Amino acid sequence: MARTNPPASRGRSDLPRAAFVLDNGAYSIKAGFAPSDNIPDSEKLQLCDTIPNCIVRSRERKTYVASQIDEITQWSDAAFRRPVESGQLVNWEAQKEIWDYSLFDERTASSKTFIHDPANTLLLYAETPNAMPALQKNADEVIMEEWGFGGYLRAVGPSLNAYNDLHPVFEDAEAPKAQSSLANLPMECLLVIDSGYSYTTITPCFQGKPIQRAIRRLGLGGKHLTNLLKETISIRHFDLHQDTKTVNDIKEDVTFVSRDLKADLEKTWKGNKNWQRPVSPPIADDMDIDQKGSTEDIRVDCVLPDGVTITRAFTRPHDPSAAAARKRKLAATNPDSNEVVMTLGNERFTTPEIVFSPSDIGSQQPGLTDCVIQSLSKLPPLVQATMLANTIVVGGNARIPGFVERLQDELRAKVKSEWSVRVRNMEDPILSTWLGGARFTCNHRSVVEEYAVTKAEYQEHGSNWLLRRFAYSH
Amino acid sequence: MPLIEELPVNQPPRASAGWAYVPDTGPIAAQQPSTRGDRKRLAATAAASRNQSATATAKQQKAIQQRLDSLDKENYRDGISVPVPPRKEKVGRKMTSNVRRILTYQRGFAHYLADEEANNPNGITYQLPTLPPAVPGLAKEQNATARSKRRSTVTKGAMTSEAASSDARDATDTSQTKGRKRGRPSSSHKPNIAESNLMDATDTDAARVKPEESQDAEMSNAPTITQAQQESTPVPAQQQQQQSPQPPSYPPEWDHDPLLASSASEVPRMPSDRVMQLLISEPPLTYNAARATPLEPDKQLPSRKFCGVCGYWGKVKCKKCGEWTCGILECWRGHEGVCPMANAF
Repeated sequence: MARTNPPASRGRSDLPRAAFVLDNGAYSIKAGFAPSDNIPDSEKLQLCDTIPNCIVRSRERKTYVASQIDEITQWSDAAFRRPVESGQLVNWEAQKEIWDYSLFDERTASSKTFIHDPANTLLLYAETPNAMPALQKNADEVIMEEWGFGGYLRAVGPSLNAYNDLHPVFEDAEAPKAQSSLANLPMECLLVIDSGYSYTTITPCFQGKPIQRAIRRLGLGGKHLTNLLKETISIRHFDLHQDTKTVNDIKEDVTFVSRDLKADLEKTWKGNKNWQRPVSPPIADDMDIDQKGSTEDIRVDCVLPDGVTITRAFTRPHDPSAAAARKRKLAATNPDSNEVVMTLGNERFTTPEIVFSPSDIGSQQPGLTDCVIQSLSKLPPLVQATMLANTIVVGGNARIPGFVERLQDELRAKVKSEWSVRVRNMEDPILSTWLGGARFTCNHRSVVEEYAVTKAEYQEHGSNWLLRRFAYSH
Repeated sequence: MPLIEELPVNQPPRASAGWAYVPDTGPIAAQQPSTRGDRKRLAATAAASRNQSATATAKQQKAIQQRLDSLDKENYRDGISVPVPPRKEKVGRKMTSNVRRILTYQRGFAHYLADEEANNPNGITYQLPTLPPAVPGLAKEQNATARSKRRSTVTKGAMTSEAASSDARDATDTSQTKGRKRGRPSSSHKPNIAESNLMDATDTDAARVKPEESQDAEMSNAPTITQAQQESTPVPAQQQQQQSPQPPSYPPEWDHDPLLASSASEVPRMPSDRVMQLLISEPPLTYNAARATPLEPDKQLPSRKFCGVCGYWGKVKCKKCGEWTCGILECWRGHEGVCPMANAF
């Protein structure tokens, strides 16, 4: 029969005040409590913690969970287990262990992410777009039954970015102060390109809600870049097949997206007559990467970790002179020096190039730009134009220098000249979704209350009801 | 009698030392020993090579697929299992049966995807589980929810008018979908699928396939021709709404000057709120439907070739295995050393 406390008339006072925002990525979990009052974004970000979302077994057959992996010094031959496969949260056995370790265990969780009392916490769980209902149901059931959160809201992760303060990001000039009230409203039209570990998704959002019909996915992400770089290095330099982590570090340090592939390839070709000539010093110090690319040598020397004195690969500029080459040769034959160095040239930019041109590795998929066009073709024309003028790139790959600029260049070349194309990224594209979620729970309490469910509601209606409810609400 | 005969203009190709530019006709050109001179054998091998080039492409496809799969891998070799470390002490909570079942699933992503495909053989959107036939009490209660939601948005008078109105729209929207769900639980989202099929076409306009909406838009915004003539300002609808109080600050004849025609007049009309609300209330696409589709062959750029050794443009193709190198001797030697077909003949 009808309950004593029907959901809408209660004013949702039974939803907990404390809100925990969880962006459960394939590579890392971004988690933290949303602030209860409106503090500047930089302070909000202090509340967020990034936890590796994996269980690692090292060569010594010792197992490390989540943030424990910081202790590992010998990364060679490490085996990874990730609960999120192909972007979807599949394996709850591993995921529960990681969450238990980093969110629910007082001794091991960091102070930022320890959830003392789930029953009095509202969980905002950011999921990947187009998650399978079977997996959504699993997530709902485990979250509500195992930990028993007092309130629960599952939302499509990229759409949370619309709640970020994006006006300063898109306006080149300083935004006038009068618009500060606008800053809290979600961006009306926003195209979110989330380039993560497993794949890249394109999500057009209207008033903070995803337009489902136009969500598209490109099956290339950070994992593929790391594996490709690993393959290339193993062919050209040293066999690093077993050193995924090392190659990942190298990828994060050295790769960039070229704005002029032809020119950059010429510069790094051995047949080039300037190959051994020292490069003129850079003109100014404060140049961004694309300018640097045109004057500076692309080649870098990368020093591999030995696990004893060097635990993480690092790079230094390459000296192309003949004397330096001799010295390197000498060092390589000298048994005393145990420094392992390789020179990376076009690997630096041909690796991320595959996101824009998957046919380079033989894939049939269209490049990222064509994916964006495919997504937009499902929208009314004016919305297309507005989306293009408000495009944001989030996720780990957005940190690759030149990624945003290249995408903007390519889109510019593809659409009408009357339409403006603005592609931007936030200061920290990895935490961008979390920050959006925190701002959402903080500034839009009424919307949260409208869509979130309480523990009691879940217990009464069950997981199928929840599945339908979230499918139609957000 | 003089002998008249046709002399061949082109000499038959002869094997000669050195190198020559050869058109790149297929994946791997020469895989069989050179057979020159004997016409019959030549024809036979040509046919064989035609067949072989087809199989070679299949072989190559397989190789490419293997490579893509290897790029998709988590660990460098298969079959690595990393067990979850046992916890020291059990937490006091009791596991529910659902949780226990989910935790003991030993299924990977591929299993779930196969399930999904089996459930939705050619579905565009996800098939959501249907709710059990409504218990009278429950239905009443949901009714109450919808109604009171509407009421609640009305009472929230303190909000800014814009926010309130959008809220109200949301509320009516959800209640509409709820109503639909309750009415026909099994076919509740069929209309959506139909719409998406329709609108997928080109979408040059949503408005074209949805007459009512386009009427909506016209009624609310667009001026009729007579009005426009009266005011002699053929500016688009939205601008007119904003500007109608004060006359434009420029001579009216400028409006008709083609040189001054701004791009603003070409900006398409914003779809009505109803279209947008429909768009955001659609159910999600299936995992497979959301994949980016390969471009049509005529739109694809020719695939680029890179040197397998140094990564520069591939300019020279190995006659034996089809791999590209950049043309410096160093790279070529490097390739010769590892060429998989080097000892094939």
